Parts: sequence; structure tokens; C-alpha cells
Amino acid sequence: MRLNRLWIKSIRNLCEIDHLFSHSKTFIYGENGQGKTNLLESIYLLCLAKSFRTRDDADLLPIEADFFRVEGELADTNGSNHRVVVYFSEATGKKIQLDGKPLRPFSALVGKFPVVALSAGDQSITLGPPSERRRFINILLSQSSHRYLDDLKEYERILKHRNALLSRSLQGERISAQQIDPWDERLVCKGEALVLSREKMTIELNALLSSAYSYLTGGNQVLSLSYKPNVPMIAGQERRETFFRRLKTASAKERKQGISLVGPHRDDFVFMISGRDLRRFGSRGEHKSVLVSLKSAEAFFLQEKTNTAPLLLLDDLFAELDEMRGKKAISLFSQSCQIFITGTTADYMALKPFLEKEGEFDPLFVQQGKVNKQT
Amino acid sequence: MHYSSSAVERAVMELSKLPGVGRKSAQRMVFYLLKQSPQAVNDLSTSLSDLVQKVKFCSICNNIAEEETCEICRSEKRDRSIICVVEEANDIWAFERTGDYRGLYHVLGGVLSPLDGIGPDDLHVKELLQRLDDSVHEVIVATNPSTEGEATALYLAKLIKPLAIKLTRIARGIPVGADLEHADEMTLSRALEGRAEI
Repeated sequence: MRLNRLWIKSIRNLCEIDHLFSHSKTFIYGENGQGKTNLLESIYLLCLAKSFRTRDDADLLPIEADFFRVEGELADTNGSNHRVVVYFSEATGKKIQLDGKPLRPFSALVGKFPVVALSAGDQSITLGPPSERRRFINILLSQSSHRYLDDLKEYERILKHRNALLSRSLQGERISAQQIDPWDERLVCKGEALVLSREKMTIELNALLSSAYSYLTGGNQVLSLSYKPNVPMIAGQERRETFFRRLKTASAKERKQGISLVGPHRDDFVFMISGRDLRRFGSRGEHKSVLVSLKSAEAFFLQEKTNTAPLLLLDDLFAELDEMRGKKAISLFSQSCQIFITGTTADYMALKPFLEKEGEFDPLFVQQGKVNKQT
Repeated sequence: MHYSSSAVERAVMELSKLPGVGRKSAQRMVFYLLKQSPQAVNDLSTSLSDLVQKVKFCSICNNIAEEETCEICRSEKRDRSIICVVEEANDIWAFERTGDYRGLYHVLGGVLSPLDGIGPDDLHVKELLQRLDDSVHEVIVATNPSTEGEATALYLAKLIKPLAIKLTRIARGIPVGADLEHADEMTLSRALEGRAEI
């Protein structure tokens, strides 16, 4: 898949940009605070209908305008072109058009144009709490299977209803077991579907992950991802049974805390380097290499599942990696995907000979929200 | 915005409370009505006040009725051994359009939705259980295939299963995320044919 053209009417500090991307690599450079990351954010927005930096669309509004508008021309695997427009104003809310027609729900966009982004906030995937890893896995699986996204949305809705009952129970209202039962049953049904998808994904991702890591580090350490479901498989038991049993055991505690305590919304994933838990023992450098390997595994996974090479957005790659690993990462990523890299002018100067050797690329200079094609 | 007539102002305000009608549409309707003959407007207003005065809810199934009970519950031609449980009265109309179903109905008046504070006591569940005597051989649960509709079906299943009455759930075939109200006749016919036990 390819992004051929990007129009930005206005978003954050960017305005009036119309750019054609003629090569599969684009290096976006400039000083800090000029709008490099905003450019990647706009591309991400076209693919997933949301930003990778904020949940609140109003954060993307420019200072001097009351709306933002981004439009892209994207070619899918078959080479046919699509137009995506994302528009937002406080008055109208967010609006998305696909090929001139309003798109509803916005989640219908997910998976059509797969994208993988590596940005500063992603450090929390390996360093942060379990919710960050679940978020990563959910985006990965949602882009590869619409069924998963539907299951996830349904599960989250069931969870909200169930939590509403539990919180009323906490406030002293009488809630009978009979009232909670149907929600338990739905929770187990959809929860099981999520766990099965995550289990299968973990196995497939691991193969990609270990080869990316060993290529990137050149060492013989093995990186693996291990899935820690909140409701694990117990030998000789149906998972459903285990799930129901856990719900029963937790019932009193759940009512006391007014919240659901059992299910895949409490899953975690652990990164292991040759048997060592990364979160406990990993060095800063190892965290960075794991993150880059993870993103590359994500890209290959999506490509396998959707038959479409995703767009790759690498924000400030060289703040994350040393030059040698950075170059390896670029070679790894650009095997089949269209990539967009941001960096400082100094990064660009240092990397220019390497990029020229690797094939043709677009250099883009960003200054005060404007884009200039320069060489 | 101010109108030179408080009657116009009030009509616009009342109409804009209707679902799918904004202030602009309401204005257009009011100015249209002003151009009609007094008779036409009176007919409309009578039909609306009749809604309040004449329409009742069936004391058996909660369907819309003009007498104590609805036409379906009174009809001799209906199969009294089957009850189809639906969310709202307009779901009955959807089923009736298929012409395939000859049993009775029961309107729940909504679905379980803890987020909106709707529990079993807010629905006509007790009335349904009271109807389930020996003459009833089958209950079909025809709530929407939504998160809340499915949970409501499971809730009813737990209550009805011990009564040893055949309990079925309409089959999928209705597009997920759509309302019964909007489904076409063919889809609903298929869903009825393929109903399955829970």
C-alpha cells in the first residue's frame, strides 16, 4: 500500500500543504518544533481515524483556525486509489469521508490502510503498565482482523454494563446474581474469543520478533513475547469453565470494589530476552531495540494477514537508536513498506549518503509548519 | 430566534422535540402547515390528540391497542401456544409484515441496560412469566442481536428454562448492528425459519 498524495488544509501548526510522494522512502527533517511529527500524525490519522499522540481530537486544532482537515490519496494492494478525508471542528465533531462518501462508524476505516508508527510515547509499551501493551496488541489485531475489532468493541460494552451493575451494588443497591448472570455469560463468550485471538497472534508474532531482534542487534540473544492471560488455560479444563469458576470466586471481591476483576481486560504480555524479563532487567538500549523489533514484527504480521504492506511512520528514529542500528532498522523496514522517517537536520546530513546508496528517496524539509522539497 | 407569533414559536419548539427533527426542519414544517387549509391542519391535530385519548397498551402483551386488549391477542386465528418476545411494539409490526408468524407476542418495553439504569423491573418481564401457563408450548426470544438484546435473551432464558417450555432464539440473518424495525421482510422470514434453542 502507498500514500501517493497528502493535502493538509490545517492541522496543529501545519497549513496549506500539498505534497506528492514519489518514492518509497521519505526523510522528513528540520529543527525541533517545526511540525515533523505533526506530518506523521496526519498520515496516521488518515489510516486509523485517530492520532497516536492524543485521544482528544480538539488537541489537533490549529491555534488560528477552528477546524482541521487532512486528505490523502492512498493506493491499496490492488493499486486502486482511494481518497480519505478527515475533518474536525468543535461544532460538527469529526467527519470522515472515504471516496467521497461519509464513513460510519469510523472504525470501518481500521484495517483498510494498515499503518505502523514508532513514536516517543511508544516507550511505554515495554516500560509502562499492562494497559499499554494491551493497547498495542489491540491495535495490531484490529488492523489485521475486523472480527477482532468487533469482538473487542462488544467485550468493552459488556464490561461497561457489568461494571455499572457492580458499582450500583457497591453503593448499596440490591443486585441479584440473576441480574449479573447474563452479563457473565456474554463476558465469557466474547472474552474467550479475544483470548484465542491473542494466543494465536502471540505464537505467530514470536517468529517475526526473534528474527527482527537478532538482525538488529547482530547478537545471538533471543527475544520472545509471552502472553499472560488473566484467565489462563488449566490442563484438563475447558477455558469457559475456568472463566466461570474465576468469576464465581471473585464475585464477592468484585462487588466490594464495584468493578470487574476477571477477564482479558486484565491480560498482560511479557518480553523476554534469552529468558530474562525485559521490564525488570533490561537496559535502556535493550528497551529501544525491543521496541524497534516489535514494530517491525508488527509490520510483517500485518503484511501476512492483510496481504498489504503497511505504511511505516518512524518518528525521531535516531533518538531511539544509534546510527548503526538505525540504518539496520531502515533496511529492515524498507524491504517492502513505504516508510516515513523524521529526524533533525544533523541526522539527515549524517544519513544522506546511506539513503542515497539504498535507492531513491524524498527529502522533505519542514520549517514553521511549511514543507519544502529539497535535496 | 424570535418569531412575531408565540403560537409559531411554540409549534416549532414542540416539533423540534421529535426524533430526527431539528429546529430548521421544524420551522419548515410549521411554515408549510400555515399555508395549508384549516381543515388539513385540524385533521393533523385531531389525529395527534387521538393518540393520547384512544391509544392504550394491551393488558396482555403491551402491544398498542384501542381497547383493553390488542387485535392480535383477541384474534381467534392466532396460535395461542407460541409467544414471541420483542423489545418494542414496532417490532411486532415488522414481524406482521412477513405474514409468516401466527402466534402471539409480548412486548418487553426495552432491554436490560445497566448503563442506562434499566433493570428487569423496568421491563414487562413479570407479565410475561404470568402468561406462561400450560397452554404455552414455545417462547421465541426476538430481541435485537445487540449487546443488550443478547444479554436480555440470556436473562429470559434463565427464567423460562426451569418452566420446561420450549425456548428459542431467532436465528442470525439480521445484519449485526441493524434494528429489527429496519430489516426487510425476507431477512425476517429467514430469521424466523432458522430460530434455534438457546
